[in-house]
Amino acid sequence: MNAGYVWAAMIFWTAVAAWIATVARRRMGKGATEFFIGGRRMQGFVSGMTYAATTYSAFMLVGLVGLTYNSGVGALGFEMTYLIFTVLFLVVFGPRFWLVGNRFEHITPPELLAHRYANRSVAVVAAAISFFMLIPYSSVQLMGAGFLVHGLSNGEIPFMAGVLVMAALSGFSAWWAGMRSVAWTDAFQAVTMMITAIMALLFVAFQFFGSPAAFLSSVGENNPDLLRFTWEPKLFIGLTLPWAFFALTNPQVSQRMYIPDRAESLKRMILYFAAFGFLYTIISTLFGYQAAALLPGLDNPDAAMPTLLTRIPPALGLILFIGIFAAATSTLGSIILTLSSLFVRDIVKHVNPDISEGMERWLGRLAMAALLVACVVFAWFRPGLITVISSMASGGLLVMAPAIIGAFFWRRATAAGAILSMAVGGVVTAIMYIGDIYPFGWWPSVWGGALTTILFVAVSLFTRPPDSAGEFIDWLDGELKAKGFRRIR
Amino acid sequence: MKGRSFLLIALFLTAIDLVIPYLLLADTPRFGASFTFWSVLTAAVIAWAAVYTRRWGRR
Repeated sequence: MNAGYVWAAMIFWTAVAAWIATVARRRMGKGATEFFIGGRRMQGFVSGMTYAATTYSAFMLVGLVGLTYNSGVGALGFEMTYLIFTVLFLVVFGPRFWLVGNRFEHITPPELLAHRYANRSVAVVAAAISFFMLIPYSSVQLMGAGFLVHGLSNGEIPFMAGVLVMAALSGFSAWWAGMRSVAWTDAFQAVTMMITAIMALLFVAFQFFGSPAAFLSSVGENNPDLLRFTWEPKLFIGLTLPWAFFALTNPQVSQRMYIPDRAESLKRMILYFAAFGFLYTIISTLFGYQAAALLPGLDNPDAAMPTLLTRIPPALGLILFIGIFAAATSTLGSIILTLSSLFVRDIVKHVNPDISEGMERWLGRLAMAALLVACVVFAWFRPGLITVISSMASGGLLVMAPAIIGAFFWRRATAAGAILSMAVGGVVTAIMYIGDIYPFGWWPSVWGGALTTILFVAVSLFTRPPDSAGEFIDWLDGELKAKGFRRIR
Repeated sequence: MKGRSFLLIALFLTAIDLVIPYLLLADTPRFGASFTFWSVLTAAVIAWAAVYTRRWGRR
């Protein structure tokens, strides 16, 4: 594709996103809560769409398409299993995060853990693990944009140009007006992602197969193996397990449980996100089947979508490119904003609890700039371990699941159990991923998850829970009933 | 939702999410098999969430 078109699309997209960020800034109030979580005043649709755009990155239209192209319906099972558990976790934990966050003015998920376990070191450990896992993962988003732009322009646009444009765009959005800006641009980007994907999917179905029905029949006739579930159980469980707990363990999404302005908006956030995820997953998988039928024999499955882009008219290809670019940009912006809030609230405030809210905002902005530079440098080196890094991020964050679930449901859970399980589990899981260690064929996420759970339970049983633990759970139980989240029998 | 109900639902979903595709549908090369199963299961969970949350914010 002509490099000028690709540049024009990126410039157009940047201008639109910058305009939205500028409008958002006019509505932004003062204070750290306003900057990092939009003052807890987000309505249902924007909350749902920012949740969706943060969750669904370029992985969907590049990685999941490639996975379907290569291994068939197991990819759909993997992604739908993620969605099933995310909906369940949002229904169960959404009200809990929202009520506790509102009452105790938490801004970051680790603050909630520090409160429940009456120990600020729990937050420091949770924040440190988040940094360690999410900075490389953010760099992968940048690298994805670089490869996409480079490939789409037939090598005319340098890899680093795509990386820098995306870094600047996501950084500007978060820097300029914090969560309000990120959420609004996310909402716009989510709608763009969905519309562009549907348009392209239908175009390919009509243009190359005659109709959507003919496309579906052709898969059954020409690629029946891709409709068989051929994944080994160890692969399916190893990949799916960390993603099933994504809603709890990834701070950039769990922080979004704080942002709805009222219970009705929280409900809408969950349902809008769920509907979006359901449709987008099916669309992404169907693209994989289209690519398998039209582009058989690709050496690199991840090239399926970029190659498919070159087979459709340039205008449509550009629109879909913007959708993928938007998906990656919105995920990166959200992660950068969340990590900056973790840096300020869970690390800096741990050292100096008396800093002003104005200072918190500025330190947050400085952290964003530093994080973006780190991500760009990481992307510049183009480590050849993209898949390992992505897997490690989700698998590594899984070690926080027992401490988060225990915080709400287990009175005996202790700070020592939370800290040791997260720290030891995180280190062991990272070593296993980096060292490519898969004992008995089971993935590091499975071993790390099991080790973390055992440590959390064992250490908690041998240590004393904070006196306030029972009070916290009882108070929350009463609030769930009082606010209508749970029926009174 | 109480902890025990949450645990039971999670275990039930895990079981059917794995058992049915592996034992009953794995070798069926049709959209009507695993593809439809996972899509319907997910849609059912979303529908359950819509029903479960319908009273939120009404008090």
